[in-house]
Amino acid sequence: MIPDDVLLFQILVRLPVKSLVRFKSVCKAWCTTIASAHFVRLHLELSRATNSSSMVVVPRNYQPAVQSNVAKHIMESTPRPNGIPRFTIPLHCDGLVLIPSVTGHIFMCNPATKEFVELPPGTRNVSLLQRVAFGFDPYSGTYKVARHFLRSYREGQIHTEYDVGHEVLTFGDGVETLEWKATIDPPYPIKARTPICLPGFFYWSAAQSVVDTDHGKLDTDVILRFSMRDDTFTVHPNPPCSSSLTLNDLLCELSGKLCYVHSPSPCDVFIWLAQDRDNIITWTQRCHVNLPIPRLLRVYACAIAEGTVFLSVDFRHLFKCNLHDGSLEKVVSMPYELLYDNGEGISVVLSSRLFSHYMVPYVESLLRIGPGCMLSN
Amino acid sequence: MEVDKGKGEAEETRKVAEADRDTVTLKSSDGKLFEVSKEAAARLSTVLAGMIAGGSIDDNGTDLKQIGSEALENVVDYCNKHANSIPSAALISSSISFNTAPFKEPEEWERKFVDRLSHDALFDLVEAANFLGMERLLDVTCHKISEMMKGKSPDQIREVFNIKNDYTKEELEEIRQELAWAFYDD
Repeated sequence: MIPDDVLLFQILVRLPVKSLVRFKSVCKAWCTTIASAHFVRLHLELSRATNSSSMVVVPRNYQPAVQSNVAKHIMESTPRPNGIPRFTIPLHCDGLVLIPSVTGHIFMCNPATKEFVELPPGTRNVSLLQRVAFGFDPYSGTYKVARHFLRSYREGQIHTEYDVGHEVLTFGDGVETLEWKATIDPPYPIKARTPICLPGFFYWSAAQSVVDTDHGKLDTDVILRFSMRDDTFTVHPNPPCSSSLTLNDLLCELSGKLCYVHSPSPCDVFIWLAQDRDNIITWTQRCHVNLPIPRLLRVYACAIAEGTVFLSVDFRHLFKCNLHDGSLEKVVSMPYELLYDNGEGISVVLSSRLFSHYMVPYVESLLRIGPGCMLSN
Repeated sequence: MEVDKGKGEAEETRKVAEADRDTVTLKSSDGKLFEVSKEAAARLSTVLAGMIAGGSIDDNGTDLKQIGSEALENVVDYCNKHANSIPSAALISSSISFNTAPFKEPEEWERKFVDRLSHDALFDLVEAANFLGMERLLDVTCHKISEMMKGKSPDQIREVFNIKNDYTKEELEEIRQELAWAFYDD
């Protein structure tokens, strides 16, 4: 007889989520173990160690108001809940995928367990422009979602006045209800651009100053770092290549590092990386990439291995990029060549009408969302 | 007196010889003896390392009453193969405790080693590895069993692991309906 602790914590824990969900029906003891915080945590650590380069692709339709299919894996079938309004770049943390919609509705799903939850609404935002942050706080062992919003909005005669708020929703702390809690106000207005989320910190882009010039408005942006531990903001510089996060630039996360994808012209992409050490963020240019097809809007980067990243041009064309020399290799044209499992083991091309194929790094986990979720030990 | 003295000396010599031996003899529950490299045993098994360091190794065969001869043969075989395997294997195994990854992927020869085992032999080997504190062997055998479990149905799992179904028919039906998607093939 294999001892129980070996069977459960050395053997069962290595199985994929789908098998584990099925094996909940083996017996009550297995069901309890598979749902336990210790097991979930151990399973996640293993999943991280063994599937370091999976991605989840979240396709979105063009029509802004029409629902879209959500959270379809490249590799395996996942759920298709309906009724998601238009959304921006999803965020991933430990198997949970957060989908921020432009209407302010925030959805969270675990594609492996097919759990899908709408988070409670936050403070009313007078602007439709908003983004959400989502990450793990190692200090408290909880997961946090943050959002920025405009509390009041007034068109002045010379300047537009903003009153910016910031609030955080915590889960995994055993509290039964999910609640948004206001933090200190950010020192500068947070831009409605997807932030970078690293353990313990959110990095927002914010407008430090806007000056009217002969050529129009000149923005000077900064990186606002929000610390989950002490609920404070600190101000850090943009990379030297660009004083402002333009519509053609993106903030991304590359294997735990801050990444700034700067695209000054349709075929030029510069990748800047920074490390946040001792509260100082220092930017270095990592490589210059010549795109074989011009980008319309922007280029998104996500890491696949040491020194290699996926570059997604306009969330349509996927390239593999060698960070050492900037060389590119075409992977797939996502609207035409990406095959999706329709949930019954049949591969289909969804539609060339799909507007964006958002992709985020992904690890499979058993984490549950919401009150009573199994996050801390 | 003289005879006794001679005996004592012989005893001393034998003890020295024992300490110098580079193998240890292990005895299975059914009384079979197996010899294994002392270095490999100490490196791969925390329990054997403890016994060797504590001097509780019996030259006539250290009793391992919990382990049958087939499993012990596999343990010894694994130790010897490990000792002879390419240096990288030894390197990996010795650095296991410093590794942040909870489990390491088996190497090619380890895969082959467990692939040839029958169900029962594999299960017995897991028990033996667990009993002897052989982290690496436990890792390799558990990996193999988890691979075997992946596509199986709950019924098959209960049969393989001899687990009693303590759900009622209604409860089971409810779970099946709620989680129907998980019951298709992986």
